[in-house]
Amino acid sequence: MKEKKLKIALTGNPNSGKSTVFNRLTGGYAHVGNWPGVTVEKKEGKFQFRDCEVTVVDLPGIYSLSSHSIDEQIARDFIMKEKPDKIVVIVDASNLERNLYLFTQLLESGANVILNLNMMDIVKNKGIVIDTKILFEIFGVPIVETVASKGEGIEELKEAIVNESKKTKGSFRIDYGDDIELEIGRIERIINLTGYPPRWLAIRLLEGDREILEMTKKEGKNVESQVLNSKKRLEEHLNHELETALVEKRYAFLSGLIKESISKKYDLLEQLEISDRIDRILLNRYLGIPIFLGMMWLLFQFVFTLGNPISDGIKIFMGWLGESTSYGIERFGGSKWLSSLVSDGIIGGVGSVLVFLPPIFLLFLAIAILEASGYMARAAFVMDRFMHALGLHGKSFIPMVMGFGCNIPGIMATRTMESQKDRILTILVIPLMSCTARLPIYTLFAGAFFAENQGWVVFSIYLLGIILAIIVARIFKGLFFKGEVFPLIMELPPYCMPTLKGVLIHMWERGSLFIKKAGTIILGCVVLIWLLASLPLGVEYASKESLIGQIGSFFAPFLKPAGFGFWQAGVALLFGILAKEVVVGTFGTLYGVKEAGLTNVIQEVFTPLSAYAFMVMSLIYIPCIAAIATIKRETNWKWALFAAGYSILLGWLLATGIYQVGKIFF
Amino acid sequence: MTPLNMAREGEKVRVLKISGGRGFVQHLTEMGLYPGVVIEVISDGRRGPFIIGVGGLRLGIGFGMAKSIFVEQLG
Repeated sequence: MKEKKLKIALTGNPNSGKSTVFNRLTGGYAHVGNWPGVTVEKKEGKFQFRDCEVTVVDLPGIYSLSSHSIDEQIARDFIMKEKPDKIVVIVDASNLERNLYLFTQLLESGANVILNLNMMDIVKNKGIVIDTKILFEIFGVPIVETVASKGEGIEELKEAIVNESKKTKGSFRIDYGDDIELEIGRIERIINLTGYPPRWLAIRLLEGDREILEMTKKEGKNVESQVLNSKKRLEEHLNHELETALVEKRYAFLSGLIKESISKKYDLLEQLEISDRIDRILLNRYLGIPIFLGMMWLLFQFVFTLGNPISDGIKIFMGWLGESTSYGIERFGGSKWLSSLVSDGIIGGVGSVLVFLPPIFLLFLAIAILEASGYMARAAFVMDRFMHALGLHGKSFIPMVMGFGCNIPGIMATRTMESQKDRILTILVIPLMSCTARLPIYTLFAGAFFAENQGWVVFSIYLLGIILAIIVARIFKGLFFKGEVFPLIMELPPYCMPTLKGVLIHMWERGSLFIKKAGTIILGCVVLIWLLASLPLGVEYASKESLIGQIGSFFAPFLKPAGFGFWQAGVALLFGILAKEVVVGTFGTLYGVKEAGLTNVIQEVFTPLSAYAFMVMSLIYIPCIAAIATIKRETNWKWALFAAGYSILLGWLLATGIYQVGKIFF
Repeated sequence: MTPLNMAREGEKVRVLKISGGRGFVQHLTEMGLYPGVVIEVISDGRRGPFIIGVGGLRLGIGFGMAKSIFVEQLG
């Protein structure tokens, strides 16, 4: 039997449980979140069912096929251009009306769809019965009920995906009323685009879909004048905007349908009442921001109190490993340089970065819990009034908080924003959010100089990042992005208890990238630094006369006003551009971790003041290469270079300022 | 017809009109907020952000936005 291949797409509103369905179908580890815009990348997985190999593409959560945000555009482009064999539309069955909206749009487009009623457990618990027979009669597509969170109905869904569908093409239509239907008919007659039903094209054109208009133009059909005429006639007649009229008709159709197919209409759910009560406190005008800050503070206490003892263990282990391998290598006839490469270079460099695995994993865990519980979406509203006053969009706060984990997903999470101006502005300030890669630097320095108040000191750096981001955004807004802020509207999913499995998967997904990074780019960097520290031949390892010493010495004078004008700091910051962890890795390689230990060496060359200035410099001075590349991808070269340039200047100015002013007092 | 920001907690109101640019109005409409829809005011913006209930959903509305949604009171 020949194997069949299918490519399908998953789509649905944010919070419909789409990522959970994806995980259940593919057994894969896509990130399961609870707030809009969590699926920022195109995710692909595979499953085998009978003689069929099915590729599943997880599209971003969207509300419609219009293209208001990049997310909607991505989903729409995929559906229209790559034409998947089938599209599974996942809907939250406890909120059918709004959720079915996207579904009807897809159905009109002539796509081969499957309707997946998810979260059926909530529906059943409330004693609500959905008559799927009626839904089937009207839609004419397969309907599958699931409880994805418990894995129920997934086999049936696979079955429906693989089954040859008996598609009743074109049977579904919404009656838009005589006036609109007349104009649809007029456009329908003169339009022709292969692969799309003319009726759908006509409707989209009336809704002002520019892309479809371009496509028809390319085929040499000029329908624009007809569309404009129809629009004008209808708007005069309807006395309000046509786009809204069409959407209203669709909703009217849906609410009629729901009256027929649902046994009882529900109003308020208990879960929501609890959620509302929590919101009264967490979103309170006066308590909201203090609670948010308190949560961030607790988060860092959690990360360090739990992470430090484990880190200490790894540190001791690395010290022992370095000494015993160099002893072993020399004992068994290995040359001195090999022993130095392994113990100074690799173990010293990579090891000193690996020490920070525990706090990094714990931070990702904490962010995952905040996301899954539903608090993250609220953070946007807690900060909204404040952000608004500063000319920033409330929604930009979520990408900024995500940036704490890693700037790159943060930058990509801006795709949910509707306004391009707000989006670029947010992207420019995300690098000021302290990502986990910078955490090793803070931990090392705060541990060495401010051991008593480590949590507070690191917290202050994070806070500094947020404050700077806000100030910088305010300035850029005035300079480059004048104009109104797009209003904020966002769904607030009910609070829920995160599942242990869910948050652990999430933590591992992001944390494992860090381990991978340690094995690749960080390893590469420290070996390069070791090599440069050992050349030219005969030079004393990691001395000022070595190649690396010469490179560092070139930069050192620029750093002197900031309090760390020695060549090792220059090298660390230079190579830190490749990945911020390398800053610590460089110190590890250059100073070695044996005997004295890195902390003790750091205490000799820095003062508490210059250490703080160095932490501030590391926070700001430049986004890492990967972040710069992401900014370029999401905007263009101009903004990427601008982000790099302004941050170098700002970092240097601030570090110097702190050191110079601090010197007066300390 | 009054702007939504005049409505108080616990009140049920019907949306009559949303003012704003085309893209904005369409976006709200697609999220389930359009003329004719009955919404419940969950939080009226005095103690925190404006939150409304549409069916079983909760929508948070940003600062100043409630002013551009016009409603009528029900019963």
